[in-house]
Amino acid sequence: MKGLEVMNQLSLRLRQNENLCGTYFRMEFEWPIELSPPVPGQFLTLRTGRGFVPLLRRPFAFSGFHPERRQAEIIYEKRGDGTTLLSELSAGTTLDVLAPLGNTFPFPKEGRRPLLLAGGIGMGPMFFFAEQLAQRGLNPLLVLGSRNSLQIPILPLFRMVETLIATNDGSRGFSGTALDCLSSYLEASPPEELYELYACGPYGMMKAGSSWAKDRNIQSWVSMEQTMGCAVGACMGCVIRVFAPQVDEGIDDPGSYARVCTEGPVFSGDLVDWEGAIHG
Amino acid sequence: MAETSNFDSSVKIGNAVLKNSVGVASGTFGYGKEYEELLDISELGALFTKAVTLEPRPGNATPRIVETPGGMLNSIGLANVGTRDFFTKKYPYLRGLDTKVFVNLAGSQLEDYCESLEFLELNAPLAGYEVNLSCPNVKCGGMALGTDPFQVELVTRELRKRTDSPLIIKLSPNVTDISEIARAAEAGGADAVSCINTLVGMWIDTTKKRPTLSSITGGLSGPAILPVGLAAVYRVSQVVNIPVVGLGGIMEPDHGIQYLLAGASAIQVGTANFVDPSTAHRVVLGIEDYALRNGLRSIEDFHQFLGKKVVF
Repeated sequence: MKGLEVMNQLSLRLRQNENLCGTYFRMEFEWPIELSPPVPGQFLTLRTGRGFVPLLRRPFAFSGFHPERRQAEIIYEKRGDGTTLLSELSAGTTLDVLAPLGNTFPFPKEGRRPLLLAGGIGMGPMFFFAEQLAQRGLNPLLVLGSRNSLQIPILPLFRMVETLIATNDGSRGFSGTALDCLSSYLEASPPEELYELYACGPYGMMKAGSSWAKDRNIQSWVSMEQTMGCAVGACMGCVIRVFAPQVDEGIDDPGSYARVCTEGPVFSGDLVDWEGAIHG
Repeated sequence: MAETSNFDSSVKIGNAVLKNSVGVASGTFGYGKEYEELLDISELGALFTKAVTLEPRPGNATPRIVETPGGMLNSIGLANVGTRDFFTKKYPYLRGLDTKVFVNLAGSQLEDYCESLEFLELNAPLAGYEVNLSCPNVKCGGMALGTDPFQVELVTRELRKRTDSPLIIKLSPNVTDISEIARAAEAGGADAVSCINTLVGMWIDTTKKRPTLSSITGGLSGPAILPVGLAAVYRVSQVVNIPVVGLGGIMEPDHGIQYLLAGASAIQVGTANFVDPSTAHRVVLGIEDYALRNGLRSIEDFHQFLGKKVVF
């Protein structure tokens, strides 16, 4: 059996590709028997077609693994040429997948309740992690923020995991951001309770979440996004600014870069230089 | 597989013999290890490392990459560990590879190139060097050096004095006459030239009304530049008597074969490594298959069809 750290170029059979809600789609595909299952936080890249436009592979975080049918899944948003092509693929299609890539969400330290902040399409890896935490009896709190009620799926996961829903337009659940929703919920919690925060979603949400956590002495973990070239650590394209030497490359000036594909995508919120230009 | 013996896939560059004509291009394959799980590196004729500069460079601000129709723009800014860390962290792995490893050297001025090469000759000798005189994404040196025939000859000559290993000069397509630069490299003592590096390009975010790349412009690569690379290789191979290494947009075996027919003695797969890491493997097989089907016995045999010494 190959270890988790080994990446593979795989031909995987697409089993299901459905509209989840609004502009979000869910894709389920066979996972090779000889490979370890993907772990929450990890991602894959795939080709959206066989031609040269779009050219580059697209990265997607794993959103679940179903051991009973040995299938893995991603949740993606249809928003550009590549994801539009992807949404048109039908079951039976063979996908060209590079996986598993990247690191994983660390489990919370003992006695800390995991708080999961999911923003928009960042919901995928948070669902995966929430499920894993719940299975281990670690009682996660999942806060799902979206633009409006149309972008909120209906999932069995919500019966398993305590879930709060926030929408920007107030069309469902809490009216406002996921972080505000979390913050107001915790006001009613016992002050001695300890937490660890996990966030995946828009840059602004993760930046605010990281800062919120820091103010409360809570360890935060964020899953970062950046345009990728190779996704295997070779091209140095998908970097973000961090407050530490880059792990592998040994460039030890302060205000260095780390590769989202290799040192990430999950980083300690404290490590990310949120003021450094990331998305221009 | 008895037929295989009819085609000699090897290529000679300076005093190095490559087992076949297919390499992977600098900047698209890291320092090899990044791809070891995805491709059998021993199948490659050559590996061209990510550019190495004398001192470490953190690289440019982000975003560094944007996709364009049939291509991509990059502005990495030669992010790399520098020669000393290259020696301690990358060299031990590279030296053990069963392929010819060429260190891609970059710098801002002549002295940087010389000092880097001297350090590597002494501490980290590999198969040879590819000299990047054509990076479009650094402020001084790089492309500025590579667009002036006098400077190209000077840098080549100085490096030639410092090594007997193969010296390949990588040429920029961002010039009026690439064959003039190629001749300068040959005059300076280069063992080969590789062409082409990326083309200067730009992409604009119409929502934000500003360039997508932090550095405004970047280097265009991918299948969009294939015809440009082919024309450059064709023109250059008409006017120099040293091997030409062709690259730019090779996605399929047919593209590599076109470069060989255009006059290239070796080729490099670049951006395709990002799209399909098995490309180089497929190109190696495709060239062999083509040679056998067409009765070609060596890489030189590919050069008989388009002729030599056509005057432009």
